[in-house]
Amino acid sequence: MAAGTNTLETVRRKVISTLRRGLKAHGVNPKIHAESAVNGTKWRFSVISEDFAPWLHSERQDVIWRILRESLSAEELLKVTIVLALTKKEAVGDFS
Amino acid sequence: MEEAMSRKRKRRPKVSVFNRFRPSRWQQVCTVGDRRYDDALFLYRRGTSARWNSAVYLAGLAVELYLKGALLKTHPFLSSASLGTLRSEGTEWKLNLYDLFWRSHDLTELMSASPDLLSEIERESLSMHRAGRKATLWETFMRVASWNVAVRYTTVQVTRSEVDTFMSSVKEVLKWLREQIH
Repeated sequence: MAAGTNTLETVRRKVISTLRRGLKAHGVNPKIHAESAVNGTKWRFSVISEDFAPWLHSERQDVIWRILRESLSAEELLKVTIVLALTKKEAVGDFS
Repeated sequence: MEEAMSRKRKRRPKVSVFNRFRPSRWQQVCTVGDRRYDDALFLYRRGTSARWNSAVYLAGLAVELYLKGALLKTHPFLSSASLGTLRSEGTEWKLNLYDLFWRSHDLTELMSASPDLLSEIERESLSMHRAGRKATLWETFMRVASWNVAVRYTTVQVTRSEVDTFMSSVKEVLKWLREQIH
């Protein structure tokens, strides 16, 4: 495995474990999916949980990026693109 | 009579906003971006809360247009190329760019298709992080990109704090894009 791929995989695992732990402290129990982005050089994440329902989208993003910033290095953060924080309904396109 | 008919034939087609428009220069795309941002500001500042969803939508569109302007500046063929010609040429990278330019609204992928912009935003974000800034430009851009996906389709009213955060994020991203592109 190339060094770059290894680092990328490490970032994926670190983001998932950091978000799971950090969000749990906020009362959110999420399912987290990662998908490759930007020609396989970065990750895009979707964080799905019913516990997000009463939160504003801006609050979800505030909390997520604050959790990530506390645990990831600047270089690791640049491997993370968008982090969608959605309820199950929103994840299937229902934003009503 | 014949002369009159000839004049009629030569008359230029009526220009309408409903005609399919192909920008020929990157500056045109950025100008449209500026106008959509002005529209967004109008709705944000002078409209009631009922207009904030549209303000958010238009502000996100302004960022999209600037990113597309950057693409067109680097790849002028995007304004004149046709899908058929590109397919017959068989150049996959051109087809991918064409698809991105004309069909995509994914701000992250649009940014990534401009390697100079991508490396510059990464460089600036690293120095912001080291300087202890609360949020780097990368984070701000990603918040615009991710929030846009959700907000564009929602029937739920955007709140005061959401619209404030989104508009200030877009302001920062657009300011940076203008400096980079012009």
